[in-house]
Amino acid sequence: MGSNDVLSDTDGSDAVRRVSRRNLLKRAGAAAAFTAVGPLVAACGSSKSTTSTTTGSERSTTGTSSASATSTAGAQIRELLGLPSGKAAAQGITVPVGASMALSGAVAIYGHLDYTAIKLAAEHIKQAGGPELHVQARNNELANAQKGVANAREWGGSGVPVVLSSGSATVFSELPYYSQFKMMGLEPGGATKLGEGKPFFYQTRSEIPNDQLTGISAYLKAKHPAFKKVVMVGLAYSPASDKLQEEAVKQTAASSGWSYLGSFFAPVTTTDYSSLISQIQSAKPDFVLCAIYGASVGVFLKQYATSGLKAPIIGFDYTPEASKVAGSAISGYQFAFDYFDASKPPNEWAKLFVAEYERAYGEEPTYYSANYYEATFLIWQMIREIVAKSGDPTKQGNAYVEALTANPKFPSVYGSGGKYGTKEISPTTHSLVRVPMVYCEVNSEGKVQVLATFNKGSNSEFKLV
Amino acid sequence: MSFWVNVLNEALITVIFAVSVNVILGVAGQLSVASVGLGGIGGYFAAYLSAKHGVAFAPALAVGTSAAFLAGLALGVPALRLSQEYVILLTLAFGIVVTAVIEAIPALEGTNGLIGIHTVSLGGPLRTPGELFRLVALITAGCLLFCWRLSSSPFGRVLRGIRDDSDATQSVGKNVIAFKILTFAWTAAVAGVAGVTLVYYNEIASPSSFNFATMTTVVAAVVVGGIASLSGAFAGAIVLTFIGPFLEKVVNIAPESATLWQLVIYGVLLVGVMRVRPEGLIPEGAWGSWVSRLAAYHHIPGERLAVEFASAPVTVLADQGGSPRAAATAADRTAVPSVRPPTTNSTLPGAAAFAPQRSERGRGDPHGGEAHGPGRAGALRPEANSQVAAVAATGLVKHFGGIVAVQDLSLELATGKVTALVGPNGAGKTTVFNLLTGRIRPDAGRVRLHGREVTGMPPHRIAALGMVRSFQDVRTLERLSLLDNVALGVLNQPGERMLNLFFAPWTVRSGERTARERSMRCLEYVGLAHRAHDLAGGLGYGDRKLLAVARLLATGGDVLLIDEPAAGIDRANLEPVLRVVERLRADGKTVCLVEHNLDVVARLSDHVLFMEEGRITEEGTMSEITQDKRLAQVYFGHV
Amino acid sequence: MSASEFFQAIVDALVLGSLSGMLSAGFGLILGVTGRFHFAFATTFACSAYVAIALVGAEMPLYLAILVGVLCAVVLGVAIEWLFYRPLVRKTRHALLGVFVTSLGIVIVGENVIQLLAGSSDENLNVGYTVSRISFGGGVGVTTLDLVTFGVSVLIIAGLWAFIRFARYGRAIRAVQENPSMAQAVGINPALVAIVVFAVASAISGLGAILLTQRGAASPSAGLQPTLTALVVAFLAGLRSSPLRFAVAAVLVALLQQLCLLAIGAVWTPVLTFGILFVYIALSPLLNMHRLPGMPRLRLRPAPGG
Repeated sequence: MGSNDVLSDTDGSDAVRRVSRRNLLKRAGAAAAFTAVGPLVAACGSSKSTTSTTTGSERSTTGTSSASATSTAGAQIRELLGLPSGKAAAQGITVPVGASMALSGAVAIYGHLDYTAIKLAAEHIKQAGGPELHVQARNNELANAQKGVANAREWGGSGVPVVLSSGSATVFSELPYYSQFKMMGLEPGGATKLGEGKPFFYQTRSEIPNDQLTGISAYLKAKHPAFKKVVMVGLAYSPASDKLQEEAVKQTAASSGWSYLGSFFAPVTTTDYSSLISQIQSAKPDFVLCAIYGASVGVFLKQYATSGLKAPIIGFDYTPEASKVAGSAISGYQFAFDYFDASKPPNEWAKLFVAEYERAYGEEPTYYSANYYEATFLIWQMIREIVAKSGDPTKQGNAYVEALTANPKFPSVYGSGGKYGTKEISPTTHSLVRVPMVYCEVNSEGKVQVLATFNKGSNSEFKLV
Repeated sequence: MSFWVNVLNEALITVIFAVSVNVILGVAGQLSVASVGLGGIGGYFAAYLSAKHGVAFAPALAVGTSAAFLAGLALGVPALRLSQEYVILLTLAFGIVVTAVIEAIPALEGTNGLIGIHTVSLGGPLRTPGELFRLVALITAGCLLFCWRLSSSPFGRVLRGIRDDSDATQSVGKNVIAFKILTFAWTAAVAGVAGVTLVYYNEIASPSSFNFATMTTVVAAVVVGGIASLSGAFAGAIVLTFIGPFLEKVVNIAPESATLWQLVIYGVLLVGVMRVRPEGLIPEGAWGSWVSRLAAYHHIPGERLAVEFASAPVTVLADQGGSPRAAATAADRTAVPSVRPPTTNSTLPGAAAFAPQRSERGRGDPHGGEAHGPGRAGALRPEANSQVAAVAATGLVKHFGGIVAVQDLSLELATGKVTALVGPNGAGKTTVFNLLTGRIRPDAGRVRLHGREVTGMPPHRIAALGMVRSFQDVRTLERLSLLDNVALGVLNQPGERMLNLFFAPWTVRSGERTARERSMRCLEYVGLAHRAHDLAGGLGYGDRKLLAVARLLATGGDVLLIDEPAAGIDRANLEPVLRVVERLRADGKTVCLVEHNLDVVARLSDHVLFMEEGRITEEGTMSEITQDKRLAQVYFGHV
Repeated sequence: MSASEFFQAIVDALVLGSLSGMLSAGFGLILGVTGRFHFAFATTFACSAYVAIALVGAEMPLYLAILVGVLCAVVLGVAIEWLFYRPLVRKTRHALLGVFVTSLGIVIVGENVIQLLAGSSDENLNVGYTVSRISFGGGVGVTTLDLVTFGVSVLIIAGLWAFIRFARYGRAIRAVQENPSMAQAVGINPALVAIVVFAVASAISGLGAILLTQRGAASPSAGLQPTLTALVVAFLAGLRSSPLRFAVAAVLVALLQQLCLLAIGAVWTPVLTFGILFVYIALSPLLNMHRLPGMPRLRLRPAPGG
């Protein structure tokens, strides 16, 4: 079975090592030597990224370890992105950056993915002749409002001008403090319509599920014109977001000529999807839109696969975790969103990023890592903008918002062809107006194949691959 | 700096939750874990009013607190009749329902939380942790004061009584139900205040602030601190809140694994504290005992005297009144030679300070008018009342399922006499006590006390009318001092009313002094005054029986039902108990004993009722009963 | 809700309910016999799953790995009782709450130690056979995994019932359950009984973890939700009642949950299920059930010597 594959494809036989490894998708034995010492390193408490030689020995890492990045990477990136150097690059300035993420609890995996990328980006920026980003990582358990408030207050009180955040519940708890302290909050991990237009707060991802649905609609029209009947299944996060997703699907159904059969939700804490499967069974749709995220996708697919139902599942999310949990049941799963395909990096900057990330951490970067990586570069872009206008990027205030409004386009590791892709943020919705996305399918070996690319909005630039 | 001020504020808000849990769980012994959920109700009411309707802080606080109060009231009613494990389940379900409802109502913004709460103004807007500290500290101090007053007053003494033995507390005249409901409601209000403070402090109302995990943290804080001491709850909340941020700053390694290590250390500390100090950091009465001892020396002159007695508790002194007569009457009535009753220089404490109690009893008591001076009960003259039955029960019937425990039983307890209820095991003697004192309701039949119908009344009302009972298994409140054990029996203390606690502290103060003086005299009466400040848990079995009698005396009741005074005591410790009963008779109390030891019955009783299979089959003097041929054959064998 | 959905819900409730009935029988056994509020049931749960996953990863045969995993849970459970609960209970009056805090600490330690060793991503465990679906017609059916889950759970519940009824240690357990002081008087060692109870219950938690992981995924905190459900079911069934009652109560709770999901939707399901639970408990005294059927008092103080 696929699950067996996943567990047996790593080399060596040390049991503890297998469990300790978080990157079970990794194929080659490049990091084998490091994995063996991983648990020891972890046990000594010096690092969680057990497969890496980067042990980030300080709480606020500024990327001092040279092992995690080659000194040429910075220069390459500067060249790729066509960046200035010296004073214009804000060299010599130290900017404190808050990072709010899950460092413990059930979803600590996200904190790991985010933080590794931020560290790497900070290092690259420094090597590229940019400022020193003093990253202050704090735990928010992804949904703990109390922690969100405490972290935002700490940063606010100590003058941190910009924060990389994650998790909608914590983001919301931080919102009042973004405006109170005039501190910019960036959310590269996820975006919805609910987060639009909040003062000092910007989302740098596609909006789930509205943005994806255009691509899905276009793909099905091109490839499966017979697919008409649709249901959506999801986890009930909150009435507002559930409704948002339902409405988006209804609208797309209307504009695409689908017949919408309904939306079914399971409790967010569940590990059992039998009610959803039973509802799909009686609705008999042609395809199922799946608003389940993270590892839960894998659990759902695992249970769906045994139900004998054949309607394809098209989701808005895919992580290696889902694949690991689902085993062979992942086969045939399709998804559409701003997925980062690390096996085939879409542009030159992305290639460099993947290589550097693998070198540093011994695992392929996921889309979370890619998002936080480029968002950290967005911070540098804003800093340069501020410096150019002789502002002070180390201070809270309106400078960051003005910088972003003045230059809302920023380079991205997403977007195919050329040196780098581009994302663009709207000064009114504070959300992306341009974001390169892909439509993919996972095959029986757990490999992701890109079937189409598209972009946000009415001019979706939809292209079959 | 603002980092630590923020932690301090969070800690103080946790303190409010903790003291609320402390009172309901630690002091009143109701295993309620609803506080955090109740805080959620208060918090969300206030947040909604502020964010959606622009209501100011003070009215929002009032509404939030009231909402929590009402919810607590509503929760208290079903919790009353549940055993403790179901109180846990009920309140656990309550908490989960609260967060689930919050997450399900669209207007409350689900898991994202409700933002847009207006900033509080207190001489300028309060936004930073430093500015908000003033508000949080003020509110926390208020809540602490409230809970301290509640738990360290006579009100709190009743709660501790309920915690340790609800039945015993009710049997000495406390309306247990009212106390429980009030406590549920007021601790809910405190939790509501905490919830409102929290949402205003955070500027967001989020379900994650009021979920199961928060609840476990608060309960852990209370247990770690010391479950029944307010200072313990305070310490626990502070320690548990500070430990995370402290570790965050001290365990200064890569943040990813540092967080996990911090949590591991946190968990190890929880386990470790419980292992090393299972009673918590500050156990109940850790410093309270010497504080109250100090206070006692200060306020009550009588106590100094009492402590001087310590070396000779049963010294025989010249008695002022009852004793010679008692000795004489005792000699008249029984063949057993009487010893001189144990006496101190005290007379039986009266009820002078507690007028309401006396007047209430007076209404139903034809002899009430004859009482004179302080201590009407003690001054009742047996010769004047001996013909009248203090208690008259007629036609009592009680079935348990198919078993008839008591059938068609009638009895009278003659005023000022000692009546003994004897009979084989399972004859229904204790059930008779339960029926007389209202602990169980008879299926048929009536009970009159001093001519007044008391059938169907709850135990605390019957106790207030003057009939109190002790229990076979004694039921001393082990975690309370002897003095508090006895003081619990004093009826209608001003300090047991919440309004008085906060609006008439002087009345409470003088009431408490009177209650303590009276309790001290009761302890002197039974010869335990020298141990007044020891915990009752340290007493021997015989002394516990004496303590139980002292508690009965404190109620001022004149009909005392004593269940097995001699059982379980060795010969050496028996004598003081018997002497006290004799003295009670001498002082004119109406006493009914259930007793198996026939020597004791013979020595103490004026009249004997013989019970078999739920009815009284013989009655008369001890010698009449023992000479009955049938009874002698069946039960007394050797006679 | 269509007819097929309704019948499928019954089938699903039987499968999920039997599993949660098994878990609650284990949790309830501990609470009923020893009075320990063993929240760290979640830790033995996770321990078993992670050990089994690690061993399967090390090429150990699946069933052997499962066996070792369950044994590890047993060792851990017994160690927790012996090293932490027992000394605590001997020293304090507030055993229930002290044990609760201790086990809370153990849960926190366990969760984070697992995360330090194994990472925070969810893990999968093989089934070991091909899962196929057996249809009953009308869109109602079960998978072979469901059947195995149901079969193992029922077997364990029945086994536990038989153990308590007929085995020597089982009878001792029942004696302690019914009257601790009497049991001690006739020479039963409560400490030993507690060890047996923890061993049995931890094995159950471990087996439940394996079954649940095969259906879903393992995560360091995966044991919390099942433990909470086990707690509710154990209280509802009556702490000292027979394991069969636990199974019935668990199936009813699962059915209620499934029907709520189908009829009113996910957001309101916890409200309704816990709301019904709340109302049921609140009304139980009024419905002339002074105590829910078969419900003796929970011992809040330790049994003498226990």
